[in-house]
Amino acid sequence: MPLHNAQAFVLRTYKLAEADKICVLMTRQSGKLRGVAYGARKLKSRFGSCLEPFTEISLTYFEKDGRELVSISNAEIVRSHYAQAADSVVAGAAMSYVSDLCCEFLPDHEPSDPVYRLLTATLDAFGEGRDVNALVRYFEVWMLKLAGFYPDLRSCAGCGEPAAPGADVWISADGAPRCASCSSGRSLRATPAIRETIARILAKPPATFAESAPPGDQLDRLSELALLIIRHALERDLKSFALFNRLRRETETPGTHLENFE
Amino acid sequence: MLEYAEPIVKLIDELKRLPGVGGKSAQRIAFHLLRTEPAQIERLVGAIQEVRDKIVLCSICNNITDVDPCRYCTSAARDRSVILVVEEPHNLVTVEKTREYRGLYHVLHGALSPLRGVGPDDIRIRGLLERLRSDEVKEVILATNPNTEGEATANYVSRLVRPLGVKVTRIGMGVPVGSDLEYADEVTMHKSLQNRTEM
Repeated sequence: MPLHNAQAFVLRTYKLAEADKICVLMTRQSGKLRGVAYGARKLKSRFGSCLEPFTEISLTYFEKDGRELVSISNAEIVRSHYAQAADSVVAGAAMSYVSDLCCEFLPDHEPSDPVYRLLTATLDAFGEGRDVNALVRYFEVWMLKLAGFYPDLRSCAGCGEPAAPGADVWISADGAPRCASCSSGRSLRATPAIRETIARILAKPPATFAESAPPGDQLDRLSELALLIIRHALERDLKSFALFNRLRRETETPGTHLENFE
Repeated sequence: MLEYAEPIVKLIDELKRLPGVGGKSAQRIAFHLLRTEPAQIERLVGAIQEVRDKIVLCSICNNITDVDPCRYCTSAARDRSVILVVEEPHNLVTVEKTREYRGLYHVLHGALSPLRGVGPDDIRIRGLLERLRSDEVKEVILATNPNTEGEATANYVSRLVRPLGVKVTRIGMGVPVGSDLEYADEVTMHKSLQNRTEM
């Protein structure tokens, strides 16, 4: 039963039996894995708040051959994002969506340093109080790109012609970019401004991008594009996506959250 | 499981559906039941049936009860100016054990969890807001679990309740009694310092 040490993010947790937890972890060294933390839900648990979602931990675990779940032996906090997730409902929902994207698009046991660094930088930017919506859109583009699903909008997937600088690109339901003549006309439009925003996302760190975030309608178009790609890749919607957008709109329009209950 | 008679296999399969009961435990319980007096089995079956037939949710506070409204909501001895909000009915029992709290309750039956797709419409917030429309309630104590989901829920509920002119408080958080400070992690310690009291 080999003992491993790793640096990891807690992506999500599930209750197990009376006082245990199953944790989905993204480790830097071994990729995504699932582990059991015995007694983690007890009031005097030795894990304390280490296994709360979005916490970066220094982890020690045992792995048995042929067992899917590893056994978490020890965890210590490297960086906690508990306060941001707990103090703001919208930031908490945003982090949940980010975590959901990692869970869905990262294969098990395949280390990905770029995704680990992306998650670190994004969560740090949340902590600095940057524009939550811009950070989520940033993470979406990068995560889908690193997972191999984000389309390259520089050329048409139909005719192979490069996209003209001032022309719109049309994204079909299968996520493929097409020029005006190859598209059926019922696809999602990526304007030159959207393509410019995507280029900025791919060139800058999250905090810098969020500092001079594009207007809300452009971020909404990016969100629609991400939704289309996620639907095509997973053949379903992510619940956290809808909930994040709902809570964000409620916050942006004060009073709507109360109206929803009337 | 084919080595056992079909009724035993059926019983083991049903027991395995219970939370925290695996294959081995289900087998052990099934064989214990086989050796149990018929009268005791009847009592067990009767108790399960009674729970299914008689237990309902209180129409005021959503607590599980056999009389609607529940005994907390109808008791004249309880302080009607305070409502303590908990996630699950068993959390209410933990608070009652202290014998300190004499107010009313409201059970949400869950907590906001974007990862599980649990949104504001999936927990029982609406009933709480309706109860607060009367001038009787002066304070709402949020006693959701001290984890990310519980804190987010407490935050969301407080945002809804504050505009109604009701005082909103959160239960204190920090190091558990009987533990050693040496083992407290930084988040717990931070909460302890935030919630410190003057002596």
